[in-house]
Amino acid sequence: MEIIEAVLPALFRGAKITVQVTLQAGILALIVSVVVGVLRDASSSFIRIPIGVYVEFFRGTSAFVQIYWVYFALPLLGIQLSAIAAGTVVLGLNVGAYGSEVVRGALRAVAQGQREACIALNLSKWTALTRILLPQAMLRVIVPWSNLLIDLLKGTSLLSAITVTELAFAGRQSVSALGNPLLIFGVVLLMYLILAAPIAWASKFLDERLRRGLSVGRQS
Amino acid sequence: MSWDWHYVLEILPELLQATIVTVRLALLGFVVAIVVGLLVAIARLSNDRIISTLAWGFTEFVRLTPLLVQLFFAFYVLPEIGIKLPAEPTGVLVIGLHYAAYTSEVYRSGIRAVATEQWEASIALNLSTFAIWRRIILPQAVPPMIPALGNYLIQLFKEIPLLSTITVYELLNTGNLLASSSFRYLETLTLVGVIFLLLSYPSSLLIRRLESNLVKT
Repeated sequence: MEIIEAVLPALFRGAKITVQVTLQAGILALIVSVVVGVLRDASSSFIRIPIGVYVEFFRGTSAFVQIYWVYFALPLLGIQLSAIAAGTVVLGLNVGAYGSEVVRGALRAVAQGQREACIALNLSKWTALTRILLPQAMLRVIVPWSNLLIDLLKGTSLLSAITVTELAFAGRQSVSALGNPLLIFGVVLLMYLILAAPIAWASKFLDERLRRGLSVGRQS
Repeated sequence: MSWDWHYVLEILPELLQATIVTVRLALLGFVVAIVVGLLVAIARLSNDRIISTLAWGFTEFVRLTPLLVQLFFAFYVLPEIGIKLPAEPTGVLVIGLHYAAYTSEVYRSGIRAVATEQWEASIALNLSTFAIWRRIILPQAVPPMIPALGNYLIQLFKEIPLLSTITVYELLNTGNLLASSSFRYLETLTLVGVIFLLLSYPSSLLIRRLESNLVKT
């Protein structure tokens, strides 16, 4: 028990950074998801192709390798980011790439008649998108996004490899200082579980509600 | 710092060797994932409440905690309780069990998609439980699952670099080792990324193709 008292403050500090990175990278991912998800199907190939390259690049290489690359290789090209900034940006862009696919899929799932009606009503592209198409697509997006949020939360542990003192790193430090990996990593796992479980519950609850209220199924 | 092609050619053989190691680890991990995943899926569908709850607990726990910490846990705790495994098998086992939680969900929805009449007919024909699974249910349930399982294989492959944190010399760790002696992080880490992209992107295209073929038939 003494050992728990000794490590808890450090683990709580780590958990705070984990939450902070999750929120910041989450906001970045949210913005990227919507913008990229909409532009991925743009009519101009000057927009569509670079966007496609971005998405496939981030989905095709490993998040862990991306973090290493930005932290160790990018400074050699003259761009130096702090460990936590590098990690947050990479995670945000990585999850954003996956999230944009969700948005794209949801936009495509909006009934064709809605688009035709927008044209018939002479709505501008912007109005059609923000007033008609996105609001309908967003309902389908919520559940897959909450799963991505859990992935993001778990992904913040990768930052431990570039010396960010988040929860996993704090756990590792505590183990090397005090031993007893069973107890300390056990507590760390439990803390991740406590952070992630509410998101999973909310996702399940929303999924059931949406299935009942609208004919929107889970998409994955 | 400028890009050095000579250095690229110099390290390429070593990186390709590490690529083979990485692919091998991914395939081994995937074998664990599809075998254990099936067992977990069957356990979850079991009528025995204790067995199905245990299987549910396993999948939830695995899916809500980071693979990295699971790796740390196994790597540091197993030796303490007397199980001495080298880093590679430990990594393969942990990543395999991790993905078993995900593949079990694929199996579960695939098994559920088999029409109830198939079960009823099997029971009416007095087939044994084993024969029902082997001859009737799985042959119908598995083919539609192949794209989803394939996607998990690619995802698993991309997470093999995490094993570097428990001293396995896969692609990323080999790249780091090379870079730490030459200080050429740009070339080595870029190559590591490119190799991942070259392997995973075509595979994902292949799976998308498979998926659209399945939808057609």
